[in-house]
Amino acid sequence: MVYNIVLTGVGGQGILTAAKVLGKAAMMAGYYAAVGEIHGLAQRGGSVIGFVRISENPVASTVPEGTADLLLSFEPLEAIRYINYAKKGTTFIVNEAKMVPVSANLGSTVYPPSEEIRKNLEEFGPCHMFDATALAKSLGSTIYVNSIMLGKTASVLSFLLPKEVIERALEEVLPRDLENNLKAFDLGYQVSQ
Amino acid sequence: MSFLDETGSDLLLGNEAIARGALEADVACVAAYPGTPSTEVTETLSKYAKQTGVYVEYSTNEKVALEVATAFSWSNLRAMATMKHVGLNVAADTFMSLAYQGAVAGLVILTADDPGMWSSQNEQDNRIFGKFAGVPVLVPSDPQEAKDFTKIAFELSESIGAPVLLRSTTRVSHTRSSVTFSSLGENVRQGNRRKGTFKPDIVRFVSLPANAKKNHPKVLQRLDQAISFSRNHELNRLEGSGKVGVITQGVEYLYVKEAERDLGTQLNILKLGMVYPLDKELIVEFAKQLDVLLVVEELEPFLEEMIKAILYEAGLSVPVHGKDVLPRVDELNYWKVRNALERILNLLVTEPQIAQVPSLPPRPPVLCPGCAHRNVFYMVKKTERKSVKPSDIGCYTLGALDPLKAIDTCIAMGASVGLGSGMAKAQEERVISTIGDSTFFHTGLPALVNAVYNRSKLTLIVLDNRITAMTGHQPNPSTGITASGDIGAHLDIEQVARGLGVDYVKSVDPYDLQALEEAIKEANDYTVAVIVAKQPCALLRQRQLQRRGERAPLYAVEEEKCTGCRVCVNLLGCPALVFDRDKKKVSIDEDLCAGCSACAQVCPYNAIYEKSIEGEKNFDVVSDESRARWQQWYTTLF
Repeated sequence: MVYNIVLTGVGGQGILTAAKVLGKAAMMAGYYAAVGEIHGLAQRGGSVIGFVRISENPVASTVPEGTADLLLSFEPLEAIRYINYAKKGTTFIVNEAKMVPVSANLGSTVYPPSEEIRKNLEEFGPCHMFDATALAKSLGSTIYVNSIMLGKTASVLSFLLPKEVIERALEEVLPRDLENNLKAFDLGYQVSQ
Repeated sequence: MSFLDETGSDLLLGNEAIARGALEADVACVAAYPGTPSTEVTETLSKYAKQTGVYVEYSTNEKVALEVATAFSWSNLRAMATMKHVGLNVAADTFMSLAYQGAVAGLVILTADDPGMWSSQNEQDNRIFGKFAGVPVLVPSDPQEAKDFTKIAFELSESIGAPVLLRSTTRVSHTRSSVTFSSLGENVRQGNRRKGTFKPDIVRFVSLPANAKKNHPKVLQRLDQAISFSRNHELNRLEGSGKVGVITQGVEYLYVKEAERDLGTQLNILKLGMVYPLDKELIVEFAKQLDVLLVVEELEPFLEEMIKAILYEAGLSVPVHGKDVLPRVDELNYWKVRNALERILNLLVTEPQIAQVPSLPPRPPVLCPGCAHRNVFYMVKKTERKSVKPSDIGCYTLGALDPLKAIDTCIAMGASVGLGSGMAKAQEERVISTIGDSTFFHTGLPALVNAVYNRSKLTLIVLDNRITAMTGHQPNPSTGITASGDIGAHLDIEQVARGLGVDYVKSVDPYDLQALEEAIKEANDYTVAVIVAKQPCALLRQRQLQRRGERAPLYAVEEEKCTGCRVCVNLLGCPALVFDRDKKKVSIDEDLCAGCSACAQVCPYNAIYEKSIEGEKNFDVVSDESRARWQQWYTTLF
């Protein structure tokens, strides 16, 4: 058994932190976990991808293309950018809040409408799309986007990782400002979309 | 779970695991120049430097780092130097001769290679460097092995008296997985800062030609000893059985195992932990059982060529595959390895079902909102359209992208100055080079001396944000703080340039576009000019302000005044500037704006104002009052 998670978004959104939480939770639940990260220049406001693989055997941290079980995107456009990782039956959790790339502001390209993105994703599998950024702002800051996304992920992954285990991992990874992060996690968990 | 616990296991990054391995080996010194994907090793150790008594330093470049580590080894204290693959090029002069002289206490050099060039200018395969120098090379597959091999590398180095190259790659250094701890070294546990002793030995430590002649044969003897060591420590491992053999190493081993499981086949695997020198007997005995052999390795056919030579010598004719079924460029992955296996097993080659990505607005990395480099590049392009514009390695290499496009070249650390010096002669024109503060100290200095000496018409703008930003904010001589958080000397680049005899030296605040423009124009009247553009890294400043519960001034667009001309967007390309296609207006994303005011300064309609000031809207964003506030922040940050 290997469960493949791909996390995407824009550098600075907390994607690597979310990946670390999921990796820790998987390890606590007794699985072999491999988290793949890209650092350095790749994260300066650019498109970012991270991987979490939950497995019974040791595996490399890179998810092979066409094999993602779950694609967690912190930004809608970035979900489509990594659609090469999806397969028939991939579950999508997508933050609906757009971050318009500089290239689209310069007028050279057009940001596709949300509905088109959703349709494109739903051709593969179920798509949970909601505005995690607005929810985070209701808690006072966009820094809670990743805890909200993790909350929603916990609701989808209950068959593999109990909610309490992900919460415990969150506590270890984000001990600072824990109370708000747990609040954000719960808010995400309860999202019905 | 704490990083310094004696037992237990934790989810560690490969680089954190290497740091842990060094502590378990009772390392006394770790010296580094930061570089992705190697940085977190020293970053981790710097956090525990005081507690463990380990001397941790950020050196000015990799050559210096290796020399500092060598000094500890020769003083009978275990030491490690860490660097990215191209860093070993900088350290190569010392590295190649060091191989002759050898190590006293364990000396390990970490080279973190970057197949696929996720954050590098090339994907050179540094295993070859080990062979070139005659130094053993260990290659781990995952974070657990990264920790274990680091520890073994110290033992190997000490037992044979050679430096040892530990070669990791992005996919090992930047993978996080479970690592089981062993006990910490005795001195590390007690937090002892150790004092070493250097015992002079002229034949060994003074590389006069006559001495070097005596030392060269020792390199080869040590390699023979490394083979015996690898056998005793089971660095190379046999798994499985059958007639289909695979020799592999590193993360490639995990791709082989996953493909083997998915294909439901049984392979006979030799997994190498020590890839140089190769254990000839082991290879020959392994190959004797086989009908076919596949060598799975990223990049160069390093093992493949040596293995073919070994088998030829042994008179074995088993067919050996490698780069005929696997690419020589880019990193490997599951599909590439699986398809190669399918081909040698004569199975149907699985076409992976991969969805086509539609054409989308690209999102390359960009300079952060508020990054002062943006202002410099904007002004360089505005004032020096025709000049050749060499630049260097750092976040600021992004100045080559749309819409700034103010960089013509980037080769290697410090090359902006050497190339600039030469271009000025080759073109017989003034050249305008840009370089970061850390890169300036790394390898920019000798080239600047060259430009002064040879009278090259060069304007060098040092983008001084007082930190090594791209690799995650490590301190450097411009910061004035050392790796372990102690106060070091702050080397003022303006003073350094004056000391070197530069004809025109000026420090400017790059948030003041007019001052920047004046300095660049003024510099044209001098032969060698250095302009120091001083502003702290915007990312770091935003973080620090956030922690203090403060925020930088915020700017906003007066909608009636905005004509939708997009001058601000087209000149600066700041991610905080958002153009609304329907309204034909620009707005500023308050979550992103870092308050540099550059957009307000370039707006031809004076439509952007400082929002954070109560009362009347302030459109005079370069007022003395605004400047004074920035100055105040700048000085309190360090």
